[in-house]
Amino acid sequence: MHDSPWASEPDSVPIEPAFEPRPFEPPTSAPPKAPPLAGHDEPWTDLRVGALADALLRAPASVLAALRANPMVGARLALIVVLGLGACGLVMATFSGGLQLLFVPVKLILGMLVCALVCLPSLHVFSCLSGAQQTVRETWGAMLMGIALMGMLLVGFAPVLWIFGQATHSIALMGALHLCFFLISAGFGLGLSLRALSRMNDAPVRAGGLWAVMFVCVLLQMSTTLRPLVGPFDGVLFHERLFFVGHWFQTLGS
Amino acid sequence: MLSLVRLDATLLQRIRTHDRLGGIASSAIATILVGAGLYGFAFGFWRGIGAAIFSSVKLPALVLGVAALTTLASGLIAPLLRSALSLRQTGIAILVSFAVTSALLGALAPVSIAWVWMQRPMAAVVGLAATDPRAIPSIDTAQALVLFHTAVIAVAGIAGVVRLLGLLHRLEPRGGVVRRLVVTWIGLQFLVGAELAWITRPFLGRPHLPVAFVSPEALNGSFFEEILLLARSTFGVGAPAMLSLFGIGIAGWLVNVLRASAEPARIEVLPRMLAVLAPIARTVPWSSVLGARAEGHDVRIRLAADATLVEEELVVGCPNGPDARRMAARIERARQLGAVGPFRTVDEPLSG
Repeated sequence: MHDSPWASEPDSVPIEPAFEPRPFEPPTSAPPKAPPLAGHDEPWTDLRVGALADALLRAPASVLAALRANPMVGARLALIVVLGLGACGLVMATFSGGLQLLFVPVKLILGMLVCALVCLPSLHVFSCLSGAQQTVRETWGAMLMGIALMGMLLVGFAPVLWIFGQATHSIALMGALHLCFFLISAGFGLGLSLRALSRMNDAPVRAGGLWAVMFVCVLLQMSTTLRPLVGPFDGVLFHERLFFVGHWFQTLGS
Repeated sequence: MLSLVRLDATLLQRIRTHDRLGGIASSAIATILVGAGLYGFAFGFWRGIGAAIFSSVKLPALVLGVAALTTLASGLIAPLLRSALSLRQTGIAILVSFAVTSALLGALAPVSIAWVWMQRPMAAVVGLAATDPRAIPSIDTAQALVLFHTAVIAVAGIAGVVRLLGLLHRLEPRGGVVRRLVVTWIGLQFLVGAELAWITRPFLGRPHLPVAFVSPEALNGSFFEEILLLARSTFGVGAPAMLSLFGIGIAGWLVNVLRASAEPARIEVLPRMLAVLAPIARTVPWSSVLGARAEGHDVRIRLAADATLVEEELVVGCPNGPDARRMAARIERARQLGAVGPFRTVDEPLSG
């Protein structure tokens, strides 16, 4: 029988443990949720529009961290949305020219922001269904990230659309091309918004795909309400209310 | 010029390190102007010197136009497909691939000129109707030559795509990312190239019509409207349905090709982390490994989202199923221990 591990060596100096001894606590459950990799959540500090846009493409995690730490980032993202959609609207308007050069960018920017505001409550509630803890402002920030990415991608596709707009006179063809590129941009942008919300809460947004489909439908309906976006200018008043699919068939038929 | 075609190590290093990219761009543009210009000359040669000069101006303009109009979209999409290429590197990669195509076209221009010279010369048929018996032999020859030139340009284009693949594989080690980049870029280039070629037509022209720099109908219609017209004349009322089916097929194929896939990897299990040796060497703390499971002869390891907010999956090949299951179990054990640590156990005092 001995009292300590060093009992057989009475002359030796007891070694002080280098740490506070505490009883062994075995893991009682699965490992905790994965924290981000080191350095990836450091807030983005360069708030110049170009640098922020680049960060949104390459390191959205740092933009998300900056968004939660600095309210100015949200304003900068909104500026990216305005610049991106404005440029895209300008290119869209070159198809018809005239007053459309003034109206289409404005319609595009306002239409997108109204859609975002309309769909914000549903996104926030959907994320709360998954146990999300973020504030409405943070949900808005995640949504702005996605819309800003959409705007940037639409700017990237603008030269492609411009060259088609210079040759064809077919509103149906131009509308279809704009729709294709819009859907591609929306896929990337809304995906980013949902992933940003997942990162905030370490859990995916329940029914996020359904919400994204709803957002796209609202946006398509808004584009029908604000028509004409592709065709020639025909007044500032709203046209008769029409379901967007019906409007497409009308355009194809004409 | 030839270093672009060879894609030698110095050039690669310059692209990788963003070193004097302007010089590479200048060389690529010069190669396109010379190579595509020479082939443009060969393209229009059968119609006479005037048409040859027109084509020698339009073909390089077409190539450079496609590069200019697609670079921004390609560069913005690249990071979204998980590539580390910058916008400038993307632009250079596109220019280099077009330069390779143009260099090959330039090299084949003498062959094409000789081939054209050996064909039946064009008769004086300008102003005749297309159905006039005197015009028909020249129209037949012109159609055969367009087919020949299209085949040569297609071969050179394939060489350019192969070179682009080689370049991207050396800049970006993940095969899945390279595949998605190339499919996206080529899709965009096809879309723009088809429309620009439509606008800048004719390159050879119809023998019974006078030579023109651009068609009077250049800005009236588009390549895809012409496809619709051709489909209507071929399929009649079923044309929209046929084209819709074709479009859905293409879209389905694209979605399948562009879907992110797990990357083949080599790993080493360390006490505190997982060392990924390939495709991109890095260490991943156990807390960022979400799980490992055996699937056939492979082990699939899921990594937490990184700075791009996208989760990643690695595939590690094993000799057989039991080995894969053992490795997955070992990774899971190491992960469970590593994820809750660091901690130390304390000897309980031994008492009687």
